[in-house]
Amino acid sequence: MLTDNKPGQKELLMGNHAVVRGAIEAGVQVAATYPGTPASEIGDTFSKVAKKVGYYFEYATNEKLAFETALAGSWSNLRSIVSMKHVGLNVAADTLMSSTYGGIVAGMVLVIGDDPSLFSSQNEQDSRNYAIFANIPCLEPTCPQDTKEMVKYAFDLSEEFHLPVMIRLTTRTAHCSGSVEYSPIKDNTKHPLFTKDKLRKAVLPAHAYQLHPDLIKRFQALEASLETSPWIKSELTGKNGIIVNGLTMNYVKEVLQYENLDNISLLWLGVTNPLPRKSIETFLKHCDKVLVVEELDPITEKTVKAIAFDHHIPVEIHGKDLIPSMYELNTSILKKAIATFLNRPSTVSFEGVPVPTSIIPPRYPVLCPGCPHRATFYAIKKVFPKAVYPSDIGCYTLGIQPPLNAVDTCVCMGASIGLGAAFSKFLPEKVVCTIGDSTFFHTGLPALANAVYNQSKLTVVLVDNSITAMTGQQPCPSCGLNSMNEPSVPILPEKIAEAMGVEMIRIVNPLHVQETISTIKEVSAYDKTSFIVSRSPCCMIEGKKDTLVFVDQDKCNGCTICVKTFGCPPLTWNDAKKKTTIDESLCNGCGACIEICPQKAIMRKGSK
Amino acid sequence: MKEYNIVLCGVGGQGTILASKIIAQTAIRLGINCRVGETHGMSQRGGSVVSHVRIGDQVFGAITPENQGQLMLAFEPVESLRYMNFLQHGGWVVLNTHPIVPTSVNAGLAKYPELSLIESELRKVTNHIVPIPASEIATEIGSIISLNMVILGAASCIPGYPFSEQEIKQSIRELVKPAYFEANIQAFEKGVKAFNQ
Repeated sequence: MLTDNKPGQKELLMGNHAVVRGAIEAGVQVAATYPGTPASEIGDTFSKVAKKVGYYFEYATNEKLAFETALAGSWSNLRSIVSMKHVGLNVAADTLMSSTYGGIVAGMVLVIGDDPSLFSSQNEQDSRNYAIFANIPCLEPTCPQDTKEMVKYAFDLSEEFHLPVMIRLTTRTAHCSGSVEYSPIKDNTKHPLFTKDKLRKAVLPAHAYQLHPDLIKRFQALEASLETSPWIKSELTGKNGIIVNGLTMNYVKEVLQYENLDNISLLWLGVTNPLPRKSIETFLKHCDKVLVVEELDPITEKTVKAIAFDHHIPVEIHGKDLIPSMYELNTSILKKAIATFLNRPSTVSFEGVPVPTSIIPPRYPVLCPGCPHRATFYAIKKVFPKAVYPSDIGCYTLGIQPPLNAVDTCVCMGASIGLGAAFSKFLPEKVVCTIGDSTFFHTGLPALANAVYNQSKLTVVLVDNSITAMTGQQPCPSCGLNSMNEPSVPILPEKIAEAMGVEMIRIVNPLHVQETISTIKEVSAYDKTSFIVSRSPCCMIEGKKDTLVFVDQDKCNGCTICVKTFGCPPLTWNDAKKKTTIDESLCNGCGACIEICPQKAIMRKGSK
Repeated sequence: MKEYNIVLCGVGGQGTILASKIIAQTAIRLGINCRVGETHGMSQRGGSVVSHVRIGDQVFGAITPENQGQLMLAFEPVESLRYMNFLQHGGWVVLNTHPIVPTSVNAGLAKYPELSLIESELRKVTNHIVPIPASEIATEIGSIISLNMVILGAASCIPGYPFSEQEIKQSIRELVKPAYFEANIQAFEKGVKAFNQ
């Protein structure tokens, strides 16, 4: 169990779970998040054990609010942790950038999940840039055990220098599992205490003017202290050296081992901001030639080159000339880079048999069988086959896939309404945007106010499945459950729209497809901002219905409308018989396809 | 022990993550170093998924380097091809023969290859292919959800597999809810039987 106070016990933990264990061992009293892959399991796990361990946990409505919850925790003298995905930090950046000036009180740890190779993100931004930007330390673990230890170390470091400390995970560290050995759990029953200190807690211009030099001083002290951090390891052997960040050490170690290379000097940086300038200087002086290995941006490389320049060290430095600046690294990529760096042929092959891509059908992620979003998109397309469709971040982004093709734009949380409102002013086409309920509460609210205030002609379709579905069904304000999954009063988007002055508001159940089509038609002629709530619970919550649907093979005339325009995965085209069948192992029985079949060949079992 | 890399691939929702966890839990309990690499998120349902279980004292990274996989557990036929570059020559493949047809095929945008073509492609890397109607077996004994147990059962018979049947069963006991334990063990044993047939 994650909460066992049994030092020495070993458990299989994923990186994200190790974050939670580390925080518990550090005596955490406040944890907050807004879910986002690859960091989602951190919040989910905090949520599960909050009552047992006895800290406050919150699913905030966005990352800025999660950050503020943690900052308030720290200012109340309670150890606090906040987690989010990398792009969430764009939202929280406003609070982060000024929180460092006055500094924090009790330890505050900021866990960020970066996503090199974009497994489930809209960009590959490197969060180390934020650590540099905000003058905060950044730590990067290699494995779940490191992750747990680093979280504890981060709390101590944070208290020593009064700065939030960033732990930068990537998809690979967040979702890698390995053995973790438990240490004792610290007491977390400290009483909250708020000390009034206007200078440090209200960054008015005059205060911030005084605090900036203090921040720089604290950061310089931090830099000096980190030279002896246990998270920097130097092995000086041969004259060829590799400087390597966080997790990428795993790949370097494997290459050295596969290739039997044992005379390479290594400098591992688990601290990636501020960089240990003295350790780097010593390393550069020892080596003739150095390769800097880091995923994404050439941040360490630039500093390493600057250090060589400042100290006139005659060393050859390689980095992004041999290592890609995009996508995650792996053992194969590093094998090639290290072979080139050493000018030595490789002795091991990491080239597998070529994948026969031409015969493999694409298998894109799709909306689940029975997902109500599919029916909403189908209805929108029926009424507005040629509209412009701004959309947003969530499961419904998958409406971009054929056969729905009902998403034209997706940029960041909340951008559907912002872009859509403006498009409706510039373009002759009808503009219909889609946004989920959790995303609406995240950053859609100011956008809707802006759309109404500036009299846009946008139709907003709020695809309300009453949950934050994509990241694993976390509760959100519209679902009637609070962060601890206890009953609460749901906040209804239609009431918000009404209060913001939208006059045309309709509520539909998208699984009633024909009714939804009629309602959207009704709204189509309206020339101010309109708001349609398309509400049906996430099918992952609803589960499989007791009676499924089937295709009457006598009635099916093979028109392919169901498979070519609706495309729910259980609808399977039988090419031999030229008819559709339903794969019952996939079908959840939502019944939306019944209304789509012009032949009325799709029926619920037991009906005639 | 020497490095042993297992690549599990299939379609989101088929239970590859639990299967990986059961293998990894066995390694940890026996005091053997192990890393599991997975991707979560967008592929949650219906997308192509892969996870890696890497066992051995000198394993560090979570992802098997290409050409270094000793065993592939393919939960879906065509997915075996998508990740066959990870498999080493002469490695083993447990191949569930039941296809899940992607929507791209239903919409007429692509074709699903015949099983015989999939097997002949796999034979470019290895002849050690163990085709098993694992979905049918799981459905027959009660639920498609136990598909992963059928595959784990078959895997436990692979020559060179690092764990015994009993060791894997112990991890199933530790990781699945007690109410489902018997059903899971039954599925596991069906997998063992299917391998031996």
